[in-house]
Amino acid sequence: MKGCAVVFAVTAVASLCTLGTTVHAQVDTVKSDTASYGRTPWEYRPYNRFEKAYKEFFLDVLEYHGYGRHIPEPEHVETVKIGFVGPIIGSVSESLGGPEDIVLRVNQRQIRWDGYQASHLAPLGIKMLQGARLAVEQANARGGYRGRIPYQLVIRNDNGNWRSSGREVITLAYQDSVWAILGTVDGANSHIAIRAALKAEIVVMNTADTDPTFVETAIPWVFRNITDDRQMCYLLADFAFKKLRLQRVAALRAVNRYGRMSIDEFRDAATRLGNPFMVELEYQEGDTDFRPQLERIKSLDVDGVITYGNSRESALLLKQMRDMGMNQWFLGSDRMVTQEFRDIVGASHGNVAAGFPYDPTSTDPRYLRFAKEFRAKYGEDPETYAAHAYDGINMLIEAIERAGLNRALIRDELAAMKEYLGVTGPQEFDPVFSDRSPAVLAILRDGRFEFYSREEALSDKMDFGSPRTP
Amino acid sequence: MRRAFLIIVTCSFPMLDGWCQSDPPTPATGEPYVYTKWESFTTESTHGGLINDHIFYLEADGDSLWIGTEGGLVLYADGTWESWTEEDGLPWNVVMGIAKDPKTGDLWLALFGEGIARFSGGHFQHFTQMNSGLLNDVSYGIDVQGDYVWVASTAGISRYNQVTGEWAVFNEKHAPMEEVWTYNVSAHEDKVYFAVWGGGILEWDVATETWTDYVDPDREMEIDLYRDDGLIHVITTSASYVDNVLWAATYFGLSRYDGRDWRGYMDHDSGLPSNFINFALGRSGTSCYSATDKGLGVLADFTTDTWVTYARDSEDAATWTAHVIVEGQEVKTVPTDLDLPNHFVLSVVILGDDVWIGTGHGLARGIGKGYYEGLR
Repeated sequence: MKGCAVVFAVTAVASLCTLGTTVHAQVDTVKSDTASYGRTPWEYRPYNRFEKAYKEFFLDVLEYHGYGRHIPEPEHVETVKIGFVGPIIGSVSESLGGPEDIVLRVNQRQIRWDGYQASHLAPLGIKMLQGARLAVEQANARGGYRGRIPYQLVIRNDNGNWRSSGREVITLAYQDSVWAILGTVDGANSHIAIRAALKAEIVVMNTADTDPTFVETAIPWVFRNITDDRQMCYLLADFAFKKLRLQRVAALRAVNRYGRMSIDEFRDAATRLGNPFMVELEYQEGDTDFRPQLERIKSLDVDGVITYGNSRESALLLKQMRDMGMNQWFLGSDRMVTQEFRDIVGASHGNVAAGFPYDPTSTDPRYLRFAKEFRAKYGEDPETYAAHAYDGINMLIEAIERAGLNRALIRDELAAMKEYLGVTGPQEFDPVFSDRSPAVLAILRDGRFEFYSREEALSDKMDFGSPRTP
Repeated sequence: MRRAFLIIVTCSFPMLDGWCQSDPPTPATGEPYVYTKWESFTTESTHGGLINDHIFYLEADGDSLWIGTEGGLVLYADGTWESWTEEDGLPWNVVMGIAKDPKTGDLWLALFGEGIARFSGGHFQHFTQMNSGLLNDVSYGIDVQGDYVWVASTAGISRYNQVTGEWAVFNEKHAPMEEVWTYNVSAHEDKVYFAVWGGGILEWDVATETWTDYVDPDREMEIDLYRDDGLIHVITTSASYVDNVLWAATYFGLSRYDGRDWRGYMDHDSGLPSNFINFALGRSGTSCYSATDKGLGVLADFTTDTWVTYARDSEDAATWTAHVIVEGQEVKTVPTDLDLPNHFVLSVVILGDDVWIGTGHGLARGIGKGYYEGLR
């Protein structure tokens, strides 16, 4: 890809920032298995060894057959509104319901930390909002909608009690009169949001939810511009079972929806390759002590441990694993590719690999320019949620510019974008409008994440050591 | 494949009461009833009587029809229109579901994003997640069973006892729900059915107060492994129960369950015009009306797999056409005078022998003069 063994930190190269902003462009099509949904390799297809499915879904482009295209444009608008739904106010857990639940679930014998009295997703949502805001500001600097009307981001928080994302989408659609919506992060809230959007007939662009099932609902109003856990799990499974030749993998994951749904394709891949999990254990969101589960896993003589959960729990889990003398490969999700994870695990992290949706060390001029502008505005480096939101808003704006102020026509323009070249790299959209660009593998080496393409990670030239040697 | 069996019927509109007389019957199976005479209603054609063209739900009430729209509640009775919006006290204009309580005469409304409302004595009583036991204000469906009002919300199921005022809630902690996003409810004397988005169909047994869940046996989102092994898909949108038969609508096709055997229907193996079914209504154990994004699909006779689908054949077609399809093969087309501009059907209800459909742009009544069940 993208350079072998490049370091995580992005270096600003101001002199390369002379190209235009994100454009809809022709990109090189990556070879894909177009005959299968989600670029699923034959060996990972459900029931592949036993039966051909009666019906395979999601192979045909989703269409909208409603009346919306006939709705005339409004005669006068002061701003062209785009909705934003995301966890931007720290309040409660999306997955479990309320702050009091979280407090009860924290193991009391550990030193309590108060991170989950605020929403654990708010830091991600705020990054998403930063990227979205930057894209809107830049669009307005270029003159706004068709050079004459400014864009306006209408911002709604989604992490209130009782699944508020649906209500927020309804408010955005019927009261705020936005033309399209970007959001959200949490898998459950994202599902809720798109169900509401389906009835209200308004586009939702998702830039942060990697749940594979998010787009497997046949809703023609839903778009996702981030590589999902299906792609990341396939890569991680190939790496674990083909490259490292692991055979005895145990799972210890969050009991929430993210942990339950996102690990799914890895579990299935392991089973279909003949290496079903030795055990699959769970922990509660906010847990700080994983030793009871790790003791059981240790007794099973595993050669790898996989987790799906938030950065903090993943890091604590790994740290305790190493403290217990467990030197197996530690595999996980993109949510643990963070500074927080690295800070907690410290230098004795051992072998660690995670799927990741894009290459944050890209030297593509578009990305470098975006990173420079992001730093100039916010004083910090962009990360995945900001970068994908930035691309998502730019896609929405491009569609609005072409379609005009009609929700159905905006949908049509987005549906027509089979490819998109954004700051996160080339994106390729499948028949259900989900980005199927290849995932990358993040390997933690000497305290830094290095990013590898599939080809690099699986290459015979790469030596990642034996399964249990850090 | 269907086109190979196409037989164009050329009879004129005045002859279109019931089945077209000039067409020879199919001796082996008989013919299904075809609605050829329709009345169409839009905001424009009713001079504002129908206050909004986006029709989410239809509820029969004797000879009258309650209509839930994107812009308010409407009653059509004796050829006249009456409507209620937020200006009239309706708590929220977007009415997603309606249920008439046969015992009290009250009307219960599922409000999209604003909880539910009881319409009684000309007044609206508003229930939200802040003042009641509603799990969420995004309500998709509502129905009445005995003293209970059941609500399908985006965060689970809520049940209100009209006598005691007590609320009960059902989500993943109290029911076999893999997901809690409930899309519709259909209540009957002995059973209450819920379409749970991502969770299949939930059945509540009134006598035993126990749950049974029905999910796709292959447990995969991207395939249906076998046609008739169970529910087609867990992305369900509505359930209908009649003659001890369950009809389940999904965005991937229609399922029928008679308590022993399942039968699946998709657009490639039946007369279903599209797998994207917004709502399905069983008319009997052998007949079901599916409101799809490509028209109305009517399974007229289960035994012979005979369908009548109603759709616009092209974007510029002046009227809809009925297609008679037997065992997946089209055997006949019949013109109708249904002229709604779009065939994205969201709701359907039977009123006497008539069928009413609500679409994304307009309402229509199929006049069932001489209607008969099955084949003749």
